[in-house]
Amino acid sequence: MESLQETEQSNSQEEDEIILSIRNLTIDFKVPRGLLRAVDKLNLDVYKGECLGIVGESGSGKSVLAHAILRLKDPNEIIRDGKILFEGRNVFEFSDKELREYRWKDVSIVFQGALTSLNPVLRVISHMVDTAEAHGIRDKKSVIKKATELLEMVRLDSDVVLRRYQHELSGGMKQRVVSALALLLDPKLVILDEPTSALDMLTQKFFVKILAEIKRKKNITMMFITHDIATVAEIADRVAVMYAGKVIEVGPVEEIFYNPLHPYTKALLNSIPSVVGDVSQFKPIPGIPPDPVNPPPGCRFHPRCPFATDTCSKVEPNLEKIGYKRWISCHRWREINHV
Amino acid sequence: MSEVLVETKNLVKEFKIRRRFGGGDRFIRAVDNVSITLREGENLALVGESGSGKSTLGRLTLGLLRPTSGNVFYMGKDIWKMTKEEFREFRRNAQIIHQDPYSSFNPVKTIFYSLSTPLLHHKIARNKREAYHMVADLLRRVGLEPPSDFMNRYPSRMSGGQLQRIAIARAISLRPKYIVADEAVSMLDASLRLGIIDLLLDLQKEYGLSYLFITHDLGITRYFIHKGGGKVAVMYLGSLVELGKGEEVIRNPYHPYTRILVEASPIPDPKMAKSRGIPKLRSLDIPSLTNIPPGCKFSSRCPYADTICEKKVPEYRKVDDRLVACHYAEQFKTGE
Ligand SMILES: Nc1ncnc2c1ncn2[C@@H]1O[C@H](COP(=O)(O)OP(=O)(O)OP(=O)(O)O)[C@@H](O)[C@H]1O
Ligand code: SF4
Ligand SMILES: [Mg+2]
Repeated sequence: MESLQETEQSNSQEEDEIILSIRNLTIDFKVPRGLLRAVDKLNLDVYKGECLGIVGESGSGKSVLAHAILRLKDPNEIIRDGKILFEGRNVFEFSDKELREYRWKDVSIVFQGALTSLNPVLRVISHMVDTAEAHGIRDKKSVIKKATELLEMVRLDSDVVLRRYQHELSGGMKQRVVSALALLLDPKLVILDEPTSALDMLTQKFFVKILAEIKRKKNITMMFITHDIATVAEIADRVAVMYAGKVIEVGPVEEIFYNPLHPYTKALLNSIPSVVGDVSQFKPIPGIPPDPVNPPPGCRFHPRCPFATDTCSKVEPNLEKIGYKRWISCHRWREINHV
Repeated sequence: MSEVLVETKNLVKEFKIRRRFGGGDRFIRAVDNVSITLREGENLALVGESGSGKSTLGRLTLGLLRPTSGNVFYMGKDIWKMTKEEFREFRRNAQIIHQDPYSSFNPVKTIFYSLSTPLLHHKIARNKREAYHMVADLLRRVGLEPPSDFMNRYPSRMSGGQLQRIAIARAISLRPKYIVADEAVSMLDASLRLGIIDLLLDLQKEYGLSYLFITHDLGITRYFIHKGGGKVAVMYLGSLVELGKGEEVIRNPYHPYTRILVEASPIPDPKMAKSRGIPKLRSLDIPSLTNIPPGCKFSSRCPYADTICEKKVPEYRKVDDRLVACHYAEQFKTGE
């Protein structure tokens, strides 16, 4: 942790723009097998106005992190340690009233699997009005005006869509409605958890373009969570890579894609063949993802890492700040990258 | 050239759907006049959006569904005209690997049970002891070592990647000739997908298998075909729209639909990805199978469609050694 604090001070102008700051966040779940560590001493900063892509494989803790930011707690969940600071205020210390204000007005979320999250007996218009009302906004007219504007922004015909029920919308339309709903109260930060995974290919592409446009126009901060690293190339300004409940590398999107420094990031990028480029360079990552109930000691990636040494299997690397909005957690990143 | 192993001729599969407010039955055509051939030891990758009929076609070739019309041939024999004995032999030779390994195993049976039962049933193993050794060999073959670690486990105690390896072990256990891999890597973590494909291709070399490899992911298709060779077929609303050899189909597509799929595939390159626009489509939403446009099925979305496309169903045109169902295939080949 030492290196973390040290460098933070020397970069105060960066700190000014921070909207969300997560420190040492550690979350366990009680499961039949024992304790499952879903988020593990996680550190992450989100800067105002950026789209931060969060990528990681299934089970790496992305959704648990997202829920924690909104303080949505599962009964089996134990917050072991850490804090989440939103504009400098610790979310874990919010009163009920503060929490109500915070949710949706400060931070909103589009849940993973949001395609099923609309109430089947309500028309889209009622979803909009009810959401506003739940947050104390009773001026129906202005809510509908706002909703209309947002639906147009996601390229939906508001006259038609507002009167529809969930089952009358296609998957792509639903996803856009749910996103418009998340923007209704002008939140400062929107978290999108796997917003494209349930959409078919062409709709995905379209939806990502729409999100990018919204972000540009409204200057909101976004966290775009996905297991598909290629998708964030298109929308993110920065990317955080998660492995076994930790952030292991963060940096500007071009740095992460053109100059990844962490062995896992490198291997991950090499394991996703795309429609362009030389396909013969791609290869799988050997081994299997770690078991969160019995994670490997030391660096969580060491059993699969081609560069692992004895130290790696014993000592946990810190998340070290190495440049402008750039962090890495690997003992050997310098040697490996000839720095 | 090797023998034709699996062949479909003008294959059609319709499903009856019930109307919500009565008024008689309606039919949707999930597979519409599809003819494909797969030779021994070769691959065919089948790509398309969800709902394009890929899985239905796969199941038809396995004899799991009966066609509405048209034929499926296995080694030259119409599978629906086979004797009981022949059909059973065919079913042993034609296996499937599903998308979700967890739902394809009995959750209350051990891995050993799930793998040994078919071996004993088909008398490939004469007794439990023999079955044990065969299962151990299979597990080793799919990279799960030591096998004794896995024998007595339940599916829920395995990771997705491990269980998919077991599904592969089960698929090859009866020494089949033909395997349908239906989105076999889609649900796995990105880091594991290529490992599973590599395994499938190693097994192909060893046993001379033929794969029908179904996926919606064009990057994965490229990897598979690049390493394993074979043909790529693109499906849209039940029809084959483009069929050609090798990854060229993806590198240089002729059909407007294939092109748009390629353009819409995410690329892990921020500069390139950000500079690409939204694919030009007349309509974003895929038409429902109950409401297929007349003429070319793609005409309601195709950015190049004209009145001919809206009226006339395109025939397959042979462009180079590719089949393309588009009125203007030749023009697209040379770049409009
Ligand atoms: N309510 C819960 N009870 C027990 N374990 C949980 C619970 N929620 C999450 N977990 C576990 O926490 C770990 C992290 O899960 P999480 O859902 O955050 O992963 P993810 O990165 O979002 O994965 P995916 O890409 O599959 O959505 C996993 O091992 C998961 O099984
Ligand atoms: S700390 Fe060691 S094991 Fe972990 S990524 Fe770096 S080199 Fe590999
Ligand atoms: Mg998740």
